[in-house]
Amino acid sequence: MNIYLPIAEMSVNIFLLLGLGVVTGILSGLFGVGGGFLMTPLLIFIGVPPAVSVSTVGNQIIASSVSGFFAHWRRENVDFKMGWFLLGGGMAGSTLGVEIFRYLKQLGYIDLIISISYVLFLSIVGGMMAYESMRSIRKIPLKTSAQKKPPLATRLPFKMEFPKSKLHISIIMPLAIGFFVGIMVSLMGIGGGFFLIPAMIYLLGMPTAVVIGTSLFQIIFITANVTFLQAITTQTVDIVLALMLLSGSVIGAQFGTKWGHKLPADYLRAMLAAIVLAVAMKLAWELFTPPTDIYSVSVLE
Amino acid sequence: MNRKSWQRGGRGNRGLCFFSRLPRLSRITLTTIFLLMPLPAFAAPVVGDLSNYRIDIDSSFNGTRLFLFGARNDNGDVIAVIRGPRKDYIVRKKEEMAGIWVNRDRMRFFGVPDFYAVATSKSLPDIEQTNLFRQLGIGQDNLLSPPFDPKTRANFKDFSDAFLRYQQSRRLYLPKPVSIDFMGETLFKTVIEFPDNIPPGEYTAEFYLVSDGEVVGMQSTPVKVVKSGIDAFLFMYAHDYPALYGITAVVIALAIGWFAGRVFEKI
Repeated sequence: MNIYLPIAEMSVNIFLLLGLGVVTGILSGLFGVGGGFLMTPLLIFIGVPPAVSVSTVGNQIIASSVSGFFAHWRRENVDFKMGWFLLGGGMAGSTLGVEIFRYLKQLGYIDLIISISYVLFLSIVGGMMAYESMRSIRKIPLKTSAQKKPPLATRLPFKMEFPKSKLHISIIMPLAIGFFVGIMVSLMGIGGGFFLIPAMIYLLGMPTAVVIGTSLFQIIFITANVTFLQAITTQTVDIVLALMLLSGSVIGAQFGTKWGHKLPADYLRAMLAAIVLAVAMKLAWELFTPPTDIYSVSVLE
Repeated sequence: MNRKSWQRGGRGNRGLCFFSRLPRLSRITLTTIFLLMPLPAFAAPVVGDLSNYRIDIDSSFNGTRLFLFGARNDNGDVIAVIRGPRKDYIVRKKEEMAGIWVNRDRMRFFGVPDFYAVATSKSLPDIEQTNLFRQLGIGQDNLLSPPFDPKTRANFKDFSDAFLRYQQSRRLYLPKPVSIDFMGETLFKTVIEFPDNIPPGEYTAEFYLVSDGEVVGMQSTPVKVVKSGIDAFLFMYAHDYPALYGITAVVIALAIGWFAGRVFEKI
């Protein structure tokens, strides 16, 4: 059974879309990530235009972040003060990111930049996760450098107290991290939890308990901003596609959360690292091997 | 119905308003009767018509087909062309740079139809072609015009081939012309397939009669491809009220996320 996507202007099998939603939903339930890093390349793979994929996945991530955020809020695991600073940087970053997106699209470099960013960041994050989970599975203690107080965040000026995270650090760090992640969100069609969570732990030194809730808090606003701006500048947000993906991911997240409780955390992280590295390698392969057609066509705006 | 369709086709049918309100089958029968009647001296060399002047794209749209039929009143080969809305395109060529494949060279093509299908009564290379073929854009090879700059002109063939290949891979251009079948000497018919990803917009169906390298007759009929139902509304909404559309998208996602969160909480 096919459904016509009004913005992507194509007809896609309804069960394929729901299936994609379920798979990414399982991932987000299992690992606590949005799953955008997997969803966007998969949508591009089934023929949805890259621009529509990036914008629409951003829209879908709003929903999955909101439901996750409420769960963390009830357990009071959100540092709102830190969240607002990350958000300030993130809003500026994502607004700039949408402009960069449009500019690169005009130049014809957007697909290349999306691929390179994916390969680069997925292999770094995947590699770090694989290394860390392997060590913890083999019971090798992590070097203390990661747990040490972050030197840069404390040395910079404009310091402020963050009671929830028990930190006294410069506000430049959360602003800069938010800014950088904001650019990535609009360029790559991901929630940004991927970069945000390691950055909050290792660069800001926030306690792990509040990290996920706080990152979800800011991701809601950033993805909302990106969705809104993409709707205005590129008209590439497909509500029908987003609804299909959403319905699937809501169901998938249920199973993911259930299974997640049964598996040990180390193995979960190792599995996630393997998936992330596999996606990175697939994209790297495409970047470095000669394309099947060296010509590409797009409509001039 | 589209009355314009008769204005250029103009034969004896002009002014027959009741005609358009008849069911399709009787329309076809009537047309056949008209066509079989003894023709007056000023008869157009070729007349043609379609089974439909409007294609609606709704959420269950899965492609469609148009039935083209007509009659020639003279000797020659019949060519039917269906053209989609015109767009400007850019074709880019990748080159290897430091191991990575990067877009480098480019060529622009302006006012090219986004959908293009040709049906012929004889295979196109066998029909003697005139300069008019290029001006009228009959046949895929006559569709794109080379750039004026002699430097880039040398690459024209590679880029135009790439463009045609791309459109064929999207099923928006047919790899080769469909054949037109004759029933007797004058009546002809053919079927054109429209895939599910046809772009909405103004299309034209053109009928040409070609004899000894001359275009001796032509007729053009507009066809509309429109999004309908909820999809038309969403598309219009997204393009005409982008800010409202963006807010709607965000609010829907927030509401569903919140709702899903509440449901999970209970389970």
